[in-house]
Amino acid sequence: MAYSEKVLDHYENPRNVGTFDKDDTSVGTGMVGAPACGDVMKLQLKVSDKGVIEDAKFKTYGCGSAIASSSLVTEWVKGKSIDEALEIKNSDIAEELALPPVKIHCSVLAEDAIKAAIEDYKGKQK
Amino acid sequence: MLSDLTKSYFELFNLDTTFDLDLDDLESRFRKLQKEFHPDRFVTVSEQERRIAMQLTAQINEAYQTLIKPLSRGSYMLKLEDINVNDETDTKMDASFLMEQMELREQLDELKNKKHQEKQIQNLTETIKSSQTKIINELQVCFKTTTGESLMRARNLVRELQFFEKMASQLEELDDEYL
Repeated sequence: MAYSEKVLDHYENPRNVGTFDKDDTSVGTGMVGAPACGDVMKLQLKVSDKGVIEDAKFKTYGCGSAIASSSLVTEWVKGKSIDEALEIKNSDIAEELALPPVKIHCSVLAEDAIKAAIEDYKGKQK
Repeated sequence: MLSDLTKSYFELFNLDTTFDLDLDDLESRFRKLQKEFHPDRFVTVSEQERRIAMQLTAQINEAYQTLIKPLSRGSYMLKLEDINVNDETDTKMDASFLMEQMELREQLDELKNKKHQEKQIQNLTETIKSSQTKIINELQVCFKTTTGESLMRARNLVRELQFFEKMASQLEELDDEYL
């Protein structure tokens, strides 16, 4: 199966790979997995006092589409408020990367990672 | 013979639906059925019967391949209960499990980038194997009861087992490169 140019670009030059301190209260960590293909994705968001996502990092073990989906969302979420980030849909990711139907689940993984990271962040603010 | 096509994989081998299978017994039942429906024995019958026999042979093979391995056996048993193990919209997994997976994958990646890591590959392979055995043992217990709770637990365990299978096959590939 041929990857789209955008997937290849993110796969070969992934943006924002790395890790923040998960115990930092301004950091939300989201971890999700896809059992069918054994993919694991970790997305971390660094949120300002005003609720704006200042930085994002990811680490994904999986296929090119999973890596590209997480790399893309780290770019997308930067500068967004957490509410705006929650509006990112897997269909937006799949469309941007031109994912074929069998790889749609990679975009689902990325959307769920954002949600999980924000949930983790909100949990820390209580 | 036609009714055999609608039987479950367990029924096909005349077995109770159980996770705790005697694999030698399964194999001998498989060989027996294979002989019974061998295409050579259906040369003189009607074309319809021959077609059914062929379908059955395929199904018997499929059933054997599914039941012989703990992962596919577990998934199949859950499927019989209408539980889908690989729902793509369900990406939630136990956080500590995913954390452990991340660490194991990191170790695997490091091994990929270096040479002469036979010993480390062996160690990681053993770690994975013992995790698989642990999950399989837990599944034995879970499948003894079919309450909603134990089936959900079984579902989560099967999902976790898939990650270890994936790692095990990646490790095997890596090991092959050294040979």
